[in-house]
Amino acid sequence: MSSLSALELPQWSQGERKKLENGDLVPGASLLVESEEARPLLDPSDAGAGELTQQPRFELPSSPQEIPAKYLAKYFQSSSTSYLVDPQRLLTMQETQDREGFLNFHAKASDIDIRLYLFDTQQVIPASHSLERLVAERYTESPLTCVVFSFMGDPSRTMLAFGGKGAEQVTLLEQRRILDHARIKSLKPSDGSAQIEAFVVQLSIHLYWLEKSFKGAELKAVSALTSQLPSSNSGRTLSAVGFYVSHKPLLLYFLVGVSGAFIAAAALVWMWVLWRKNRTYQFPVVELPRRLGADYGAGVGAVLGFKDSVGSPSNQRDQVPDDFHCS
Amino acid sequence: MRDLNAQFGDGDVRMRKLSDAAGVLKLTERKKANVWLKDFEERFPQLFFSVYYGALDEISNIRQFGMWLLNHGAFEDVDLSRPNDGGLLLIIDVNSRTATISFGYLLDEFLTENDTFKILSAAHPYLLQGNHVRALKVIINKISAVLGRRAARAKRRPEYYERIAGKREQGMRDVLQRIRPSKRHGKIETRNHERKGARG
Repeated sequence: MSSLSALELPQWSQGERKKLENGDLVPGASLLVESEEARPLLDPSDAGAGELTQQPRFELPSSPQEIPAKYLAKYFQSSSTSYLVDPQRLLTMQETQDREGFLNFHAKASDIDIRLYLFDTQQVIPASHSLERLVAERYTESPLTCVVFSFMGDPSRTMLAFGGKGAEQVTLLEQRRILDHARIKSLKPSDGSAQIEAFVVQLSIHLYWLEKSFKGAELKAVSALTSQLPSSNSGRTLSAVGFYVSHKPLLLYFLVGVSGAFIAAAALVWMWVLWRKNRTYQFPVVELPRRLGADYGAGVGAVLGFKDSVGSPSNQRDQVPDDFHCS
Repeated sequence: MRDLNAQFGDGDVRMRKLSDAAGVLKLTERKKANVWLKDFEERFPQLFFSVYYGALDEISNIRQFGMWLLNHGAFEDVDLSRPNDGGLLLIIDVNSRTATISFGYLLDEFLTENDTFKILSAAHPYLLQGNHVRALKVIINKISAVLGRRAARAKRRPEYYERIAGKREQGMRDVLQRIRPSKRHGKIETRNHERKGARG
């Protein structure tokens, strides 16, 4: 009988029944409403709570638009040696290798480097940082560099700016044109990595033409200056500079050729000197009658006096005793 | 040569290619000079160069002395395959401050007095300064150059020198004939006489 009573369903108390009828009590409200009075499901101080109450191993950003603080330092406060700046590892290892490989190849072939900063699709650059500020702080003293902020999967948000020596030569109109053309190309692929690849390739092509236009403008400026100053030393200097600029690629071959010719000539001269030094001479033996009773030789040469330093050798040609000299 | 033998002596004089009786060269300079003389012999296998620094009597004629020494010198350090015919002897008298070059019969056609004068003139400044080793080097270099050119020319045109040697021999014969006109005249008269006698 006592077990039977334990199985009986709970009964409303008189007060609770009244509240229920009055509408003051909603069954299950503690489960449905966030209330300070509502008892949490699990007490965190409960030692038996288990692993569910432990701190998570990674910090989730509070918003997809926010760049985690630890990555901000790597983006904006440190100088990267790599042309691809992707501290968040948004690309796979293979994609990273491919992009870095292309950027390294471009850096070797071109005077204008590309630095690619990669962000996630919805991330927003904090107000305290900006592309222009980064370029001004990190790339002022470097060679001419094109810095690109790219957002994975959203090429329409890509930004670029030029920094370094000669950046002022690149007009805003030029920058806008380059950015637009590269963006258009990058919109074609659907994959984020492919979009970045298309953007970078198109950018590289535009930078190549930009370099050529710089060199052409340089030549024109030099020739304009030389035409203004034809007879002065500065004109000669500038014409020399113009000659150097226009023939720079051939200069190495010319130097190698000249050095080779010089070495060959020096070797020939040295061989000729050695041959002359080791050459022997033979005289034909001509039988001549003996003269003056001499068995071996009667050839007497000139006599030269070296008493007087004032007189020429011709004046001291004969051996004359001192008594015969005029005093 | 008889007169010279009477003046300087009849016998052979044992000497070396570099004879510094006057003591004008230092030991290191003598070593250098010996190297130059050896190089000269290598370049001219038939010849040798000898130099004598001496303090001669002022009365002596240095030319005569050079000729006598070349014909009477027994050079100890010269190979027997090089007789004195191919010798060149430079004599420098430090007393009278004169220099001369004597040479053997082998070089008679290839060296003239003018050549030797030019060679000695090139060394004149160094002789004036007393820089005998430098003077010797200049003389050896100059004489090597002259002899080299003459040897090359002789190789290209050997008949020219043979012709000159023939002319010289002929010239000597003419000189001898001119010296003895009476004997020659006598022979012609004898022949003419014989012819007259033959004609009757």
